[in-house]
Amino acid sequence: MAVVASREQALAVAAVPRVVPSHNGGGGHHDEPQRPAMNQLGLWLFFVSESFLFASLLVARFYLAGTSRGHVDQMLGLGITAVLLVSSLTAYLSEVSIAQGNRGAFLFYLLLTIVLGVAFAGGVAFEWSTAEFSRSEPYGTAFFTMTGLHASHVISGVAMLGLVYYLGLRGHFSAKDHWGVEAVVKYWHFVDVVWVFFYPALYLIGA
Amino acid sequence: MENPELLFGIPLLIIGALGLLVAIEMLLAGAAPKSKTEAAVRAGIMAFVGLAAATVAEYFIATGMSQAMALLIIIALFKAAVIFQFFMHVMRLQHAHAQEE
Repeated sequence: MAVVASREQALAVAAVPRVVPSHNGGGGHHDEPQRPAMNQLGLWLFFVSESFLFASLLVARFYLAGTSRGHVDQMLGLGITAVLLVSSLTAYLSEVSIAQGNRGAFLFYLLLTIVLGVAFAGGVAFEWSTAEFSRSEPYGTAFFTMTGLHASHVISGVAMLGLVYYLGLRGHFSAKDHWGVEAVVKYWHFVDVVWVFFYPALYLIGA
Repeated sequence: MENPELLFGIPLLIIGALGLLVAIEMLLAGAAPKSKTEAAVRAGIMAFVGLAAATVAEYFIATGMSQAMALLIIIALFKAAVIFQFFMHVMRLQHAHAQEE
């Protein structure tokens, strides 16, 4: 009964409209209650839980292979890192654009981010196809697991960016209401942060 | 250390990166931002330049030094902090929570 009561309480709380000004300075919609703080908190808690997953992989890489490293294409590694870095800037500019109501720039930078994301995934796929180590070696196990899991996040990020782009084309989002854009762009930055640690661990550290 | 002379490149890289940042800052400071958008774009570009400089630095440090793990970790932490602060606006989380309360 206690569970039923607490569930009813939760539903009652969720049903109460709460109008909160957005963090971008715009007022909340009176007919569409916004809960930016809860949304933000939920998103950041998701990032924290993801961080544990990626951190465990990072530890596993050094546990399995120590500081030794297989032969990887340094130029390719630097290239895809640069691509992901630029995509973070374009994603940021996309978010800034919609926050100011500039739909044209928002869609342009978003499309650019999608293209760069696909290019990054393509670079990882090329690295996989040309890798000179097998997945049964300690370093190979770490390399394929880490890049594979990260690439899956990149692909899911591209899919979500694509969805936001489609919705943007259909007139969704505005200067006052663009939480969907903000959340997806933050997710994209998080994927970039993960690569900030994976790149030196896989490409630079070790001999 | 395979190429010890490459160690001389580290301070040069740091000075170069700082110089680039200062130069860009001076150029940008020449005209005050006309709007909130312009200021946000400038902040984003500045963060990007810092990240790019740090990435280039870590690449040359790693290829030039055999025992540079600690330095690479510091650079990675710096890059992550820049992304969290300038791109992900982590500090706004506290402001948004305060507003809701």
